Parts: sequence; C-alpha cells; structure tokens
Amino acid sequence: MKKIIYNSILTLGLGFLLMTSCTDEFLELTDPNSIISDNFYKNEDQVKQAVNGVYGQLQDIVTNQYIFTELVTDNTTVQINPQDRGQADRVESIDFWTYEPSNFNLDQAYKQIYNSIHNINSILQRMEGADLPEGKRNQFTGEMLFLRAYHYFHLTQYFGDVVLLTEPIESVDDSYEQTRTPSAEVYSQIIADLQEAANLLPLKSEYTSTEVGRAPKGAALALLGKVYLTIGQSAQAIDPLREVTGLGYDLLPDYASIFDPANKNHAESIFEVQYQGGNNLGENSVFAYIFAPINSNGVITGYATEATNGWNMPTNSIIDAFEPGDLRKDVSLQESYVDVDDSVVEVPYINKYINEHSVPGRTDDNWPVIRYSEVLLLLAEAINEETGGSQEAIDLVNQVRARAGLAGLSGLDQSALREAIFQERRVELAFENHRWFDLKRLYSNQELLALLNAHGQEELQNPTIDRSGVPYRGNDYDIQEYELLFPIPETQMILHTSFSQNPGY
Amino acid sequence: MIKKCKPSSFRLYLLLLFVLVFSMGAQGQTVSGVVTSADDNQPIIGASVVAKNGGNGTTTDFDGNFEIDADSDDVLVFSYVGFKTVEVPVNGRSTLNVSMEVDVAALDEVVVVGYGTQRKADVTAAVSEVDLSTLENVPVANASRLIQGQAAGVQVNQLNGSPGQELQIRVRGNGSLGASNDPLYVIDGFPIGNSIGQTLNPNDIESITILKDAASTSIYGARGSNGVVLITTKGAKEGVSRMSISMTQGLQTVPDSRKIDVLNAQQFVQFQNERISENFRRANGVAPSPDDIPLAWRFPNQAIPSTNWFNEILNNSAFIQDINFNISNGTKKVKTSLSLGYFNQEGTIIGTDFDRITTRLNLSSELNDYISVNWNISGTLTENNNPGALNTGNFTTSVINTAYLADPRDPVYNEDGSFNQYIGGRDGVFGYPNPVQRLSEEINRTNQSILLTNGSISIKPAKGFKFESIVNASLTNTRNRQYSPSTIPNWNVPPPKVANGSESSATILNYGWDNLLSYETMLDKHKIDATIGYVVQKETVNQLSGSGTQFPNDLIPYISGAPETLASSNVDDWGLVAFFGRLNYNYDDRYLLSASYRREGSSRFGANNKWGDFPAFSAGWRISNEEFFPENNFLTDLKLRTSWGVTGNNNIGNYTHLARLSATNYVLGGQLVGGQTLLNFGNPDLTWETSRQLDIGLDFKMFNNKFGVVAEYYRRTTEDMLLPVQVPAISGFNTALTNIGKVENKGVEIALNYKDRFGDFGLSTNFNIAFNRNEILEINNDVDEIFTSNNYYGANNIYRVGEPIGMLYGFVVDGIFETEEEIAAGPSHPGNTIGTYRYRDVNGDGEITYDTQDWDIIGDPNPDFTWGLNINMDYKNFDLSLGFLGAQGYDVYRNVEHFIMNVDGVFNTSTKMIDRWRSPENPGVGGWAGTGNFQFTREASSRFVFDGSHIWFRNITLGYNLPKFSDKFSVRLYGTVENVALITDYPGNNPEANSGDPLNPQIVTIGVDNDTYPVPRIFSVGLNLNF
Repeated sequence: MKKIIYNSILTLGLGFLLMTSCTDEFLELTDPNSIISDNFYKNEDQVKQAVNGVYGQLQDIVTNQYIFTELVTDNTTVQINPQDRGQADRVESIDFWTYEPSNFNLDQAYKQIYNSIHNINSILQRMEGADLPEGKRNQFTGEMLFLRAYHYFHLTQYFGDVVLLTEPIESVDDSYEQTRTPSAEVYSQIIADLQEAANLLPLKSEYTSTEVGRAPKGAALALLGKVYLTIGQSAQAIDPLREVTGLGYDLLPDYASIFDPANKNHAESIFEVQYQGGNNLGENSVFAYIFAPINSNGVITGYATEATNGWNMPTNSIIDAFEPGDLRKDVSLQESYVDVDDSVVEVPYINKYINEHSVPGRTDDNWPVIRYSEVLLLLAEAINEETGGSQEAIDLVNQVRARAGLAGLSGLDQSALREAIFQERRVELAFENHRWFDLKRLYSNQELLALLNAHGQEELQNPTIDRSGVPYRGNDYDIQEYELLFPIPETQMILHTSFSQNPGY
Repeated sequence: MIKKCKPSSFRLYLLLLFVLVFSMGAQGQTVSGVVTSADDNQPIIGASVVAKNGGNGTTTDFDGNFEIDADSDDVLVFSYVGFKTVEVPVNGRSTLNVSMEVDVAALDEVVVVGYGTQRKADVTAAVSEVDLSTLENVPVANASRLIQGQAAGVQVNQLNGSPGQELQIRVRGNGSLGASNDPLYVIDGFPIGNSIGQTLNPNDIESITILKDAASTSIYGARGSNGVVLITTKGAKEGVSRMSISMTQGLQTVPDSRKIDVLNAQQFVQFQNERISENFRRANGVAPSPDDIPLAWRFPNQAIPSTNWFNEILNNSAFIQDINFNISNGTKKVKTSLSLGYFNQEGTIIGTDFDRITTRLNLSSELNDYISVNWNISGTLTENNNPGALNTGNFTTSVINTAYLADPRDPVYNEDGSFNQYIGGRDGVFGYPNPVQRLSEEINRTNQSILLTNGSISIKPAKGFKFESIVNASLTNTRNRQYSPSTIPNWNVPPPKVANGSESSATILNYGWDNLLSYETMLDKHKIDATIGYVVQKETVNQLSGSGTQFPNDLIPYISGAPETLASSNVDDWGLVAFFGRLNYNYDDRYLLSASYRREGSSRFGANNKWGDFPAFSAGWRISNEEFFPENNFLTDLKLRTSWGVTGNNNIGNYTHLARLSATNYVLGGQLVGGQTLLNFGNPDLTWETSRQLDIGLDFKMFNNKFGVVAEYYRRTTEDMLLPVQVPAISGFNTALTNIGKVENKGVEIALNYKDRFGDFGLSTNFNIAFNRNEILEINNDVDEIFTSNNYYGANNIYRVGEPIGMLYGFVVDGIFETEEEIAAGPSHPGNTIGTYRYRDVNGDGEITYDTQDWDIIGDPNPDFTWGLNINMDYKNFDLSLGFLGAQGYDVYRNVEHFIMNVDGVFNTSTKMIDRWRSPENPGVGGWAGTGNFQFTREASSRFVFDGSHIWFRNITLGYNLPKFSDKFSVRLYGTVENVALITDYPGNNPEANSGDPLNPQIVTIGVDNDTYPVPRIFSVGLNLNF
C-alpha cells in the first residue's frame, strides 16, 4: 500500500514538473484566424496584399462619395421616402444643407479616408524592411503615393485644413496630439506625392493582364494636373496633362460603352475603382440600387426583391443642362420610367450605372475616377487660363463634343471658354463625383453661394421630385458661406481638444 | 524557443486518475437499537447509521429504530443534522441504544469556498449560501433562477421570458465598463466561465455558494472581480439508499397586465384620419375637405374587422413539465448517485419551446484510508426553437415588436384559410411579414450537447496532509439552423422574398488540471490549515458556419438547397496558468486570520503584462467566544470580520492585444485578389482590470441562534478597465482597447434569517437587502466621459466621471409647445410646431440642435436598493413557501415607445396615442405630444424614461406530505405558481429587462427595455415519490 502512495505522489509530482515546462502552450497563443501585423509586410506577396487592401478600401469610399460631391450640388437631389424618417435624414440633410457636425455619413467618410491613409503610411514605412525586387518596390510605392494624394485631395477640399500624416501613428497617445495642417501645406504634399508617383508608376500598358486596375503613371499625371488647376497654378498643370495625351489613351467612339461592365478598363479609362458582380465574393457594387427611385418595383434594376434608395436623383437643373441633341443625355439619365402596371412615373434617375447583372442586389459596375475625356477638358482649362481663348483649348473641348454629337465651339474669349469648359465637364462627367469640386474651382465663394441658393429656390418652389406630402423645413436650402467647407465631424472634435472647428459650425 | 509538450502524456495522467477500485462491504452480525435525542429523549427519525469499517449504512425509522449488519469489532457512526456525531464500538453487542446531543451552534457545518471547504464559523470573507428549499419543487428552466432573491447584494434579473432562458447575475453592482460584469461559475470546482448556460439540471444541485468579496474570490485571480458562483452537485450521502421520482406539470400564460395595448383597426383609422387632418390644418390653416383625406382613412366610423397581432402570437396555455429521477446509494466506501432529468417548456409565444434531457453520475470511492477517488460526469441535450428574432429590439426584425406595430386592419388568414402574407404595406403604413406565419414557418433551432466531467484522486500521505489532483473537462457542441422561407417577406418589401438559410456549429473544449496540496494541524489552541495549488486551464472553440442564398424554392430548407453558399470557420482559444497558496489560522476559535495569494498568467494579455498577482487578507474576531463575553441566550454568537484583496477581470476576448489585419479583398484583371488592412492597434501592455475590495462584516445570532444577522459594508475600486476608447480617426482606427479608468462600488448588505418551531408549526424565513452605490472616478486623462453613438434614436448610455455607470442620456422634455408665442419665445427647434415637445436648452445657446449639445442625463438605471424575502412554513403535513423580491429607485429606457408612440402613421400605435396632446384645452394624459412632429420626436429623450421600481411576487408553493403508510415510501404533492404578480408603475412588460446594445457590445449597456419576450405566469402541480 505504501508503495502505491509513494508511486502516486511520484507520478503526480512529475506531472507537476511537466506542466510547469508547458506554460507557453497555455500562455503564448496567437490568433489563428487573422494575420498579425508584426509578421506581415515581409515579402513581395505580403506587401502586395497590403497594397490590394488599400484599393479594397476605395470600394467603400467611392460608394458614398456622391453624397459630398453630387448631392450637395445642383446636379442631384434625394427622393423623399415618407416612411423612412430615420436613416434617410443622414442623406437628406446634406442635400438640403441642414446637416450638423454629427452627420453620420460625414463622420463615416472622414474615418474611412483616414483609415486608408494609415494603411498607406504603414505600407510605405514597413516596406522598407521587406524583401522586394526593386521594380515592385517602385510600383507599390507609386501606387500608395497616388492613393495618398487622392485621399488628401478629397480631405482638404471637404474640410480645408486637415491633419497631414506621412508616417503611421504608432500609438494612441500620438494621435491625440496632432493638429490641423494648413491646406496649402497639404497641397504641397499632394503635389510631391503625385510627382514621385508619376516617376515610379508603370504605364497602363506595362501592367500585366492580371494587374489591370492598378493605378498607372497616367493617373498620377492627370491628378497632378487637376491639383495644380485647383490651387490656381494652371501653368504647371499643362505639362503633366499634355504628357497624358501622349500615353496612348483615346476616347471611345460610343459614350454608352464607357459605362458598360463588359468593357471595363477600356482605352479611355485612366483609373477606375474595380468591382465584380455575378458572384458572392463580396466585391460587387451597388450604385444602381442606391440611385434608383424608391418603390420602382425592379423595373429599373431588374430585381423587385431588392430595395432601392432614391438617394442620388438628377435635378431639373442638370436635365436642362444638356443641349438638344446631346447623345450623352439618355445614357446619363432618364426622366421617367414605366412601372409594372404600365403607368409612366415621372421620376428622373441616373442611368449611367444601370446595367444588367445576374445576381439580385450585386451589380458589376466599376466606378470611373479619371477618364481621358476629363484630361482633355482639364488640359483645355489649363491652356485657356494661360492663353485665353486659345484655339488649342477649343479644339480639345470640341474633341469631347464631337463624340456627343454636338457641333464644335468657336470664337470664345477666355471667360466664355471657361464657362463652356465647365458646362462641358458638367454634362460629360455628370454623376461621376466631380461637380462639387468643379463648382469650387470655377466660382468665388459669393458666386457659388448665389448659384447654390438660386438652385435651392428653384427646388423649394418646384421640387424635381414629388415630396409625397412631406413639407420642406424652414431652413432647407438656406446656404451660408461657412457651409462651403464641411465641419470636422463631431466625434473628432470631442477627441482632439486642440482642434478648432471650421468657423460657423 | 517554444517548448512543446505532447498531449499524449497529458492523457496518460487522465487515465491514471480514472482508475477506480471498489471495495466490498463486510458481513457480520445484526445490530439494532433506538436513537434518541439527549435533549428530550424523543426518537430521532432519519438519523444516519453507518458501520465505520464495513461501510453498511441505514437510517432510523419513525420511532428511531435501526437495524444494521456489522462486524462485532466494527464501530457504528450515528449522525444527524443539528446533532453531534456519535461513534459507538459494537463490541459484540446486538442491541445498541444511542442518545445524541444537540450541536448548539452547528459549528461543524461547512461551506464550500474556492478550492476547498471551510467551517462556517471560521469564515472571514463575504460568502452567501443560497437556500434551495424555497424553489425545491418549482420547475426551473435554468440554474441561475435558484439564486434570484436569495443572497444580499446578488441581483438576478430575468431579462426576458423565453423558454430556457438564463438569468443575468450581478454581484455587488457593475464594476466594469468594458469587460463583462457576469460572475464566474464554478461547478464542482471547475471554473466553466461567465455563463452557466444549460450545463446543469437545476435538480442536480446540492448547494450554491456565492463568493462576494475579494478575500474569497481572489483565489480565482483574473476571473474573480465579478464574484464567483460555486455550485456543488448532488452526490450520495453516507448511509442513504434512496430512489426518488419527481414529476411536475404546468401551464403558462401571459397575464393581461404584461401585454401592451395597441389600437384596434377602427381606432387606427380614426388616428390616421385625425393625424392627416391635423397636418393639413397646420400646413394650410384650414380644415381639410373630405377629399383631402385618403380614402383608406376617410370613414373612421365604419366598422371593420380588426386583428390584435400580439394576442395572435400568444400561446396562452403553454405546457411545461419537469421530470426527475434519482437513485443514490451511499456507503462509507462507495457513494453513487445517478440522476436523469427531462424538462420541457413550450413558449407563451407560438413556435417557441425548449427541451432538455440531462443525466448525471456522481461517484466517489475510498480505496483505503489514504486514497480516494471521485468522478462526476454529466451529459445534457437541449433543443431550443426561437424563430423571429424574438429578443432583439428591432422594429423591422423582432417579431414581438412587429406584432405591436403591424397594421391591425389586416386579418391573419385569407378567406381560403391560407396565411395573409403581407400585413400593411399600403396607405403609407409599413409592410410587415405576418407575425403568426413567421413564427409558424421560420426556423431558428439551436441544439446543444454538453458533456461535463470532473475526476479527482485524493491522497493522504501523512497525518494532516492531503494531495488532490483534479482533471476537469467540458465539451460543448452548439448547432444552430435558421431558415426563412420565401413566404416571409422582408420588412416593407412585398413577397415573395428570396429565401435564406444558415447553419453553424461550434465545439468548445474546455479543460483544466488542478493540483492541490493541503495541510491541516492543531497545536494546542492554534489551528492551521494551508493549501497550495497549481492549475492550468485552456479553452478552444472551433466554429464552422455556412449560409445559403438565392434558394429557388422552399422545398429543401437546408443550405444544400441553395445554389449559392458561403462557408467560414474559425478557431479561438485562451489559456491560463496559475500558482496559489492560502493559509488559515485560528487561535482558540477566537481570532481568525487568513491570507491567500495567486499568481496567474493569461494568454489574453500583452507580452509586457502576461502575469499578475492577486493577494488577499482577512481577519475575524469571534467576540462571543471571549471569556469576558457573558453567557446568555439573547446574543448567542457574535463575529466581527474584515477583508481586503485584489482580483481581476479578463473578459476582453482573445488576441485583442495583438495588432491584427483583416481581409479587404479587391478585383484586379477581373479576378479576385487577396487584400489585407490593419484592424486594430497592438497593445503589448494590455492587462486585466484590477479590483481592490475592502469588506467589513458583522455576524450575530440571537435568541438561541433562532435569529441571525449578517451585515456587510464593502468598497470595491476597479482600475485599469479594459475599454475600447474612441481614438481620433487619423490614427487609422476608431477605437483602441486600453486599460483606463476607475470605478467604485460601495454599499451595505443586510441579511436576516429567522427559524423557529412552535409545536406543529415551523417557520423559516430570510430577508436580504442591498444598497449599492456606483461611481465612475476616472476615465481617461482629459476625456471625462465616454459616449459612443451615431444614432440619436433609441437608448443611449453615457459614462461620465462623478456619475454612476450607464446613465441614460438624451434630450430633456420640458413640456409641450402650446402656442405660437411659446415657440417664438424659444428655444428654437428646427421644424417644430404647436403640440411638439419642448426640449430643454441645456447648453443655453438659444437653439436645439440635432446633436448631443443639448443632451443631458435623463435617468439612472442603477437601483437604490434591491431586496429579497423568502418565507417557508410548515404545519403538520403541509408546507408553504413564498418568494418575493424587488428593486427600488431606478430608471428604464423603454425603447419601444419610439415606435408605438410614432405619429408618422407608419405603425400601429399604443392606445396611449388616443390621450395625446390635442390642444391647450385638451392636453391629454401623460404628456404625450400631438401629431405635428417631424425631426426630433423620436430622438432619445426623457419622454421614454420610466421608473422601473417593482415588487415581484415570484413564487408560491403549497406542499402536502401524505401520511406514511410505509417506512420506505413517502409521497409529497404540491402546487406552485411562478411569477405570481408584478407590482409596478412601469408601463412595459418586464422592468427587469436590460438589453445590450448590439451596435456596441463592448460597452456595458444598462437600463434599456426592448420589449422582448414576456415573462409568463406558470401554474404547476407535482408529485414526489421517495423509496
């Protein structure tokens, strides 16, 4: 018996020792379901995945971009859904200029963009220690710099002075201490990033077929030209834009084919955000459903089972902006639709992104960011600013007009041509998220206010879309100068004690 | 370098532990006699008689007689509750009469504590034992119910009435903002986690002890902060051989007082008519002509059929039954207890039910004087049907909420008897799936199988020493299947819908190994017992889930019927390693000292903070044992005690200290490409929340121990709370998990009990009451509040320094604007009209803006006090027990009022809408605004906050023991009513409701009622048979 006791104690004692040596098995556990940052960014494949992730974030960012670039302008409005007085208000209040710094969509946009910038900065920093072929290092660096510039270009136009970061924030404490950088410095960084990106990025034709969709050199140059124009340095804009015209891009003969998913990344496309429908991989776009009229019973999208929002609808103003005979009008918008009961519903809608798709709710449309026709118009704009009424500028505009089936312009002075170019941009690039920045570039604050308030009065008196009995509120379309910059979101104002809000809010 | 150890060696030791050797009882002569009480010479009925060496056992009969086989040199052990155990050598005698002495203070009663037991008299910590007798025969769906109203400072809330639901337990308030506030459950020594789930059949429970202060919980280290619930399961008693069967059956109903009154169809048409007329008048200044009112609402006086959807989804005679069977056989050497249980509860909402089958075998065996082994194993199978998203507060998906809101003009069935598939969806009223059809046709079924086992070997190698090695394991598989057929449309989209289905399976293996060495000795008046231990525990969750979409039809309601499927799997694990020691010292039963220390390492924490230390100290002074203390019958026992200790809370999820990436894929060249983006900040410093708790207690007994009082004061300060703090978006993230903040809970608890017998009448009652005060002392440097919401609808909690946890937050309603002059006088609200709420201009800037600038604290969800009262009486063969409990002085945000008081005409509304504000002359009842609202009406405001104070008459049970017609057979009959009556002014169906915020699960959300499953009243009758 004593032996049993003795043996038992011995065995269990040994067990004790054995377990002591196993502590790591209990304490050093790592997440088997996700990648740990410390072990990542080490080789080409890992850096490539991180870069792809930043592109992936673009999908969400451009999905709601229309709210801040089209809906605030005279291009689009919302269709009131009298049954949805909750979520819709986040969108409606922007259309009607009654939003507060607490607006959900504004908050979300700010967060999404900075999240992406953090990923970009992390990649740029961590890539230095990665084992990469030089060519790939250049390409990835160029792509990240282009996208960083793209994001800051939006941020500073939305909010004015913003926190400018070129390195990742390493700790929570660091993030509280940042301050807003003057917009001019943000633009300097954008220009530096785009110049370097243009040097590093391959041409569109140099990407292999499996890489189609990555930002090419032409994208960096085109955006650089646009940035120069935005800050009034039109002379500097000419060279990069002219360089794009020599990179092999061309206008497609048929305007409608630009937006055909069967024709993605075509010769006119310089940069577009990639989506894919027809499967359950989660890469589909949903523009058609956000933009289609509510209760349209699937006659527009093709699927009655999926709800539509009616949150980005053409206004009378843009419907009237198309000249008679403009081939782009019917492609861009429709003024009514025929319902299931054959009745005609007089609700206009954006038609550019209405395409057949095989799975309900998952469209296949890419989002156009920079097209060659825009480069032609930007170049025309730059040349006209430098050499008023130049024939070269008029010819560039006429290239775009010719495709639309419109007669060429002639004999315009600098100011008339400037107006003509912006009018051309409005209809050529309708509903492609350019209008707000174009308006801010073209007009002084006072002119812009006058235009917006006049548009507001038109809508108040004669709404483009029937409001289903919901009256306008007293302060709808009452636009003040301070509102031309969006407020820093309320959540961020609370966190940054050193921030001052944009004046007026 | 990572050290590896082979799992096979682990299993080897497991096997070793389970080797059982049963010894046989000895044979010999028959000994008989009578057992009497030394006090009054009356026979003692049911006293246990055991042959010490032979292991045979019996109990005395009605007249105190016993008869037992024992060797002539054996020793008989006589024991009975409340009497001192007597050992008498047989010495060859065949007749033995024994007189037993009353054990005055029942000093040898022990209480279960962490990793051991302790003499009750020696306890210096705050420990509550639950009296299980009150609910002995009540069909109880979940073990957590047994604790409700039983222990001071332990608040148990029934969040909803769905079948089989676990109750929420809070020990001494909410200590944490960011981690869980649920206690740790320990079953037979095995810490199973923060939820008891369906692991146990409540009938298998022998005792429940709740550890409340740090002196008792710090031995559980980083899991002890929220209190510990120790549960011991029933084993056989020495000398008892018994078979028992209990059967209970009952019916459940939802009383009218727990229903919500909504408008009938005619009232609904009337309301719509008035609403449109009033809006017209506001817009145009004149009354509308009949043609201005849509046809559907034009004729309110027309009689039309009406459906009360809430009544339609009720099953007001829902069946409940609980059947239990137990065989227990205990000898000195081997004790065996086998139990089987079947519990079945239909829901009071149609389509819902819960079933549970349990088995348990508890075995213990002494090999010899040195070695004994113990093995418990239990298995549970459950099935729960819960279609229709019952427990969420979502007005589009929760079938209970939609039953309030659906158009009352529509019938349940079409004329041909088929379901009317789409309710409302016309005339501006939201369209809903038919609630009755949803509950009948949707599937949401959860099946669980749970295996729980503990095996131990205990060795006493030398006098006073005991070594115990315990292996614990639980294996839980949870399968869930959901299917929503094409006949159930989505909210506001007419049918047919594309059906969808999903299925998931999670297997959780949780195992631990405890090794304990204890030593006990007595030197003169010094009594010492010491324990050291080494424990490891690990849990691994393997989850597999799949979903199907685009089902072409409803023929195959499984994923395989879908042309498009999606599957995912993930693995989650955590582990801990701990060493601990405890020393108890007792001098002369007068001075008590105790100290414990635990060092624990956890996989959940950052590299810089893997290990933590958890010390505790306590001391007690038994004043009544002092020589100077006068001998008297008035104050018979008096003990003063105090404790202090450190505990932790590690409920932050796994791997959160690591900087992780998540998949953010993209499309390039028309093909999917993998992408990764950063998910969170890494935090190598991340560690557990630390609580420091001081406890001062006074225990005394009066009138010959008939009346007992336990009074406690405590103060618990929790620091380094694990909180997802909002961080500036420029960091790349929106929140970061950090250790910040400080919360204090302090309070007083008083427990009284009184037990006496007056001839045939016996009375036993206990009352407890607890006052907890909770305050946030610190949050984060400059930031002195946490408020995270982008949604101004619904309930919001704010966490602010100087205030209690989870204050309700929103606009403050200061009445209703009655005239244009009042509106002009401000403060200005955009878009308001006569008859709308006047909000308080909290920031004083003259305008109410659509943000939180004018928000203020509108309610405190923390009760002033909570209490429980349990009364047990018996008279001759009858017994009666009553249970009451309550909470006083707290606020509840009634979320559903946003919808049922909505003036947009898109929902059916509460009948309170009839009494809304109409004009200054006719201001209505209850301060509800008129119909002229637009933007601000439903935003969080004080309008939706109500006092939740309540008294629950929880239970009444009447029992009758049939006169004995045989010594070996007893029968008991009983009837019981559960959830008898609720006394409250609260307008919702359950003031204990307290829903989490699904948007923000990491922050504790309290005081929110989403009007979920009503709590039924249960009538049941039953029968116990004992052989």
